[in-house]
Amino acid sequence: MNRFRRLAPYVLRQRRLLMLIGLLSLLAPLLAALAPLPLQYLVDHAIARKSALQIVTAVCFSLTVFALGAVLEATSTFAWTLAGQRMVIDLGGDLFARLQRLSPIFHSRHSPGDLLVRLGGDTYCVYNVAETLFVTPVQHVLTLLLIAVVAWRLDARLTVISLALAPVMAASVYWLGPILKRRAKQQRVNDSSLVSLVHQTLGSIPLVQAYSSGKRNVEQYRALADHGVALRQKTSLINNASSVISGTIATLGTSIIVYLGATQVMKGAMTVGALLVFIAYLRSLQGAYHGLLSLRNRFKTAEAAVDRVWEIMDAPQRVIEEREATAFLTPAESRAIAIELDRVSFGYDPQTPVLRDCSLRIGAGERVALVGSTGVGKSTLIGLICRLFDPDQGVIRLAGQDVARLTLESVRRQIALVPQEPLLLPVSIRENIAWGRPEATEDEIHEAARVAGADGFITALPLGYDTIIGERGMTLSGGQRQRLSIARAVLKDAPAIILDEPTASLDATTEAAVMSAILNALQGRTCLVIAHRLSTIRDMDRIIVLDEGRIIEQGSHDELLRAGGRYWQMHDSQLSPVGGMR
Amino acid sequence: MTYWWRRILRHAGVPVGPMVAIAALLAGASAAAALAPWPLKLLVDLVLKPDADVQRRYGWLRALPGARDSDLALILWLCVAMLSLYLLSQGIRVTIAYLLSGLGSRLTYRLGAEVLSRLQELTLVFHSRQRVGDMVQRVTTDSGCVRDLVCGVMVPGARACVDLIVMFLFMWQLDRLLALIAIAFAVPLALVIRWCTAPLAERAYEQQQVEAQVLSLADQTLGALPAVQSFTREPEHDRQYRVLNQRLLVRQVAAMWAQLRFKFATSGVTALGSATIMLLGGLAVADGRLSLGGLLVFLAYLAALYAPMETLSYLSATYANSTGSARRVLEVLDTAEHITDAPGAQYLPAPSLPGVHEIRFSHVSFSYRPGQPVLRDLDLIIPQGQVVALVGPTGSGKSTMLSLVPRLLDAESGAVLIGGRDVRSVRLASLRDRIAVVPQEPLLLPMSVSENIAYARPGATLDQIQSAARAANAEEFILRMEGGYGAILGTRGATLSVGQRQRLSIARALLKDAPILLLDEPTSALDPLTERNVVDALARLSLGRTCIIIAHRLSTIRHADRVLVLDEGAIVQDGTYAQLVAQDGLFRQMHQVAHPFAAVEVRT
Repeated sequence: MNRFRRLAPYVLRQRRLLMLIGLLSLLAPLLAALAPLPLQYLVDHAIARKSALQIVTAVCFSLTVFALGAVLEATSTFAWTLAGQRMVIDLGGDLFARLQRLSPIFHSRHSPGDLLVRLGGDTYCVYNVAETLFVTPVQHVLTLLLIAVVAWRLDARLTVISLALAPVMAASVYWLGPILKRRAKQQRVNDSSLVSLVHQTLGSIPLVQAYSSGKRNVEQYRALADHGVALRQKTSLINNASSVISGTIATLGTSIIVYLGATQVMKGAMTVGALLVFIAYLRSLQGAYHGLLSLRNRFKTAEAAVDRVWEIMDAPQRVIEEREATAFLTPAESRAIAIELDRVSFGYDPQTPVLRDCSLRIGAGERVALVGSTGVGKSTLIGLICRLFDPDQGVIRLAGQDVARLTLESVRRQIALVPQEPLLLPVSIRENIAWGRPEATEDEIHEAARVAGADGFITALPLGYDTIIGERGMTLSGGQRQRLSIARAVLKDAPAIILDEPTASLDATTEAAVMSAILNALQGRTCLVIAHRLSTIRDMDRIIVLDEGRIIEQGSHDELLRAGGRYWQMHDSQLSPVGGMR
Repeated sequence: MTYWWRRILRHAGVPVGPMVAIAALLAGASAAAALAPWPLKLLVDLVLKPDADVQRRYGWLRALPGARDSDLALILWLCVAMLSLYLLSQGIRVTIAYLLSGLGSRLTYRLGAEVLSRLQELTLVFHSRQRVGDMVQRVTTDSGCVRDLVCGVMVPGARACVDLIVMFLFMWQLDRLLALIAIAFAVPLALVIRWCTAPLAERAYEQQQVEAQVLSLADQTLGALPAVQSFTREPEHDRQYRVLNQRLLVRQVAAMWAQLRFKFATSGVTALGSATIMLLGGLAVADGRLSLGGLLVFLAYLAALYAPMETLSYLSATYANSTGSARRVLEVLDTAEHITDAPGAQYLPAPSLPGVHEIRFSHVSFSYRPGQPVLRDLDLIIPQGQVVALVGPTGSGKSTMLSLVPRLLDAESGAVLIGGRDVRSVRLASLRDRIAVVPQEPLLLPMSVSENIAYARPGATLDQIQSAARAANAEEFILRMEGGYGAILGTRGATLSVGQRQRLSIARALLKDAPILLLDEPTSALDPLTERNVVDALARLSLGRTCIIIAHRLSTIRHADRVLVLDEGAIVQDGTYAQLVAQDGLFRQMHQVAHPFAAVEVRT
């Protein structure tokens, strides 16, 4: 039940509309009780007396009841759609906010397709739950009570008999519930994997085409689809079985009432019109019963979706802001900040540590390069400094302040990151560059682009800075994307800048130009660069060589070359004369 | 768009057998439904308020066992009839529902498969303009338009029509005038429906568009998450999400208003019809022209008439709703930017023939946007077995040039020829079979390491996979992963470093073992030592293969037979590494920046 209680805030936020709906729900059963009366009047009085006036009265009466019903229905549908959609939007907004803040580790384990289904589809559970918990039951219970009272006055014995059939109907619906829930879950899982497959395929079109795996993907799609068809058919069968069973019981009830009622009419204890009214009431009663009983099943179906929503909301957040976290205090003396790692260990899963007991201090304004083989943990180290992850052990400090004690936002504000893969959004180039500082002026944006060596190609585009970038920046080359990503970081103008292979897809000439421009523009900032091309980092203040999650060498370019260690090896391998050519 | 349904049905391939079965069942269901109010009518007319005419006509009912003298027995029989009719109609209903749920989802999936396979054929130029989230929705959600069409429009429509006809025939028997009046109300109903449908369709389309925007925003955000987080942009995205959702709410309310207005109009007309019948029928009973039971049947039919009329009126709404989705589906199916086999496309000749894998660019030009050529009149031959390095400034068209070979893009003018055949005249599958590509961005899929490597050859043995991984210098880190080759990669390989992803991507290409090898910066993210190993492996593997390799790091192309320097979409230098270093030009500049110490030695 707890899972539903947690939905309460979303529901209660719409209490005004819910109150309106509640009010309207009171009127609905009243109309249900009135609806069959015109017929009784017609049969027992108007026709019997052959009075045209009375017939007209009966007809007008019935039209009025109808019109009232229509207005009532429209108003409550309107109110309910508005309230329900608002609940869904609120829940979806929270879920989205949560998803954005979960660490990249979480996202590496969940496919975006599945997450999108949860966001776009499963959030409707709040609508369903609210409807089944609050709206429908109120209406049905009221109908049941009111009609039972009215029917009792018409004929007590028949009312008792019709009410007695209720438990039988209840039992039939009851045992189908769990089966339906299981089916609903299977169906959702299958749908999710289908969406994931499609998403995955469409997200990697270049690969799909180059390896002509299109046919295979369609086959996989078909296999999942066939499974989906089978599941849907089974669900339909179970769903219908339940409605047939309760319908049969209801019809049996009607037959009994008709039989007993007819004998009453023959005895003169009841008029024909009264019998007709009674039959109509019986239908209303059964409708209300049925509605109430099916609530359980709809509830069960919603349960599966609710669970999938909470699963995300409850996913352990690896980076948690402390309750009493404070904002970063900007040191008075300098715009640059020192970065310090103190005996830090970290692993994506605890068994395989990526960084082991790693200590490192980068002074304020120092320019440091990080080198080492692929996969030794360079990018991880950067992720830790930006608090995309938190270390398993050890402390990370910015200007002497433990980042774990600071608010996430203030930490990330201190650092401009150029990630290894330039992540661009399908908005204009201007917005992409100004992403970290939306308030930047046009001049500042152009200047940042110039520093990153991007100004040239941007102005060559027909729309210039207004060019909208295709999804994942596909119309730009890798180097162009990288330069936009650099411009973005330059514009952010944070006290520390971290570049994760900023120039891997640039040619050597452009690279040298971009690198020197960046270092010039960021005079006095703390700067950490990862690079594989050693020509990029020759002029850095200090070079740190990382291996197996530990620092094995550090010093300036010349010092390391003289030491003749790993750095010298790497240097030799990359910059050796081109004698290896055939 | 007028006849979109015909095209949608053709694309989904509606099976005849189940449709015929459903049609037959529909007729049965209508008959059972029409008979449903008769037991009550007979009860009233025979027993409760006896009507001489009816008693004469239905005298045969008295022949039922026990019913000759006993009214009670007759009532019992009629009650039994009521129950049996119910069971019959329910049996039919369940069967139809079962058939329909299968049919509906099967058609949806078939249409989805059609859209998916078309999307897979569309060029990168098309995809670069689209958002993945939006395309996903077209495959998974919008393809439901065919289900809505068949299960929400065609079948209920047919059912409603048959219901109307059957009920009309029964009513005609009871009272011709009343029957005609009841049916006459179909005309204003039809008019109301016509007027209200157009805005309904518009609203639905607008709503779906905003829904797609919401999905796209979520997709983008999740796709760029590390950047979102490190730039602390979460609050801004929250805000955008809220704004879009607010817009969605407005659209939803607008769509619902349109629906309510529509419903009001249609049910108002229907209610007026019922009232008229009640009035005239009441008078007829008073005059003795109609039995009371007859009036009850009329009223029951009117209540039942309302259902098919309402169904019919909703049909156009459902139709309109699915028009939006259908439009989005057909947009994809109608996009002509796809690359498929030309009519009469040939297979490439056997790989053993000499010169089959020679690549020739014959006056090739290409542009993504008109007026901005990326490649200009490229003309060159790469003989079979040659290893060619492609260098040049960022954005000079290197990747585009590479994409023309496996026909990820088609040349705008001129032609790319393989073994003297225009690639556009070759069967795509046969062409791409001969080519292994290592793209710039290593795309990994969320499956196991070995499945990722064996992507091009799903039947490969573990031995083959391992030796490819070893050659790409990937085995070491694979074995360090929990689960080794069986380890499941996160989406886009998020748990791996770019260098690791790059090596898996190389292993994948190596396993494919194709005679043409296209490498787009295969080593950009590797450290110097790993790079050297991988380059050596590539050098071994490129032996005997036609190979084009793009690289910025000149150390990667030491093994190349020939170096092409591309600048602004044209070849500006062509020669061996040593020749080009000796020449005064772009290449020497690049070389000097990269190898400030080595340059002297080369010249000696």
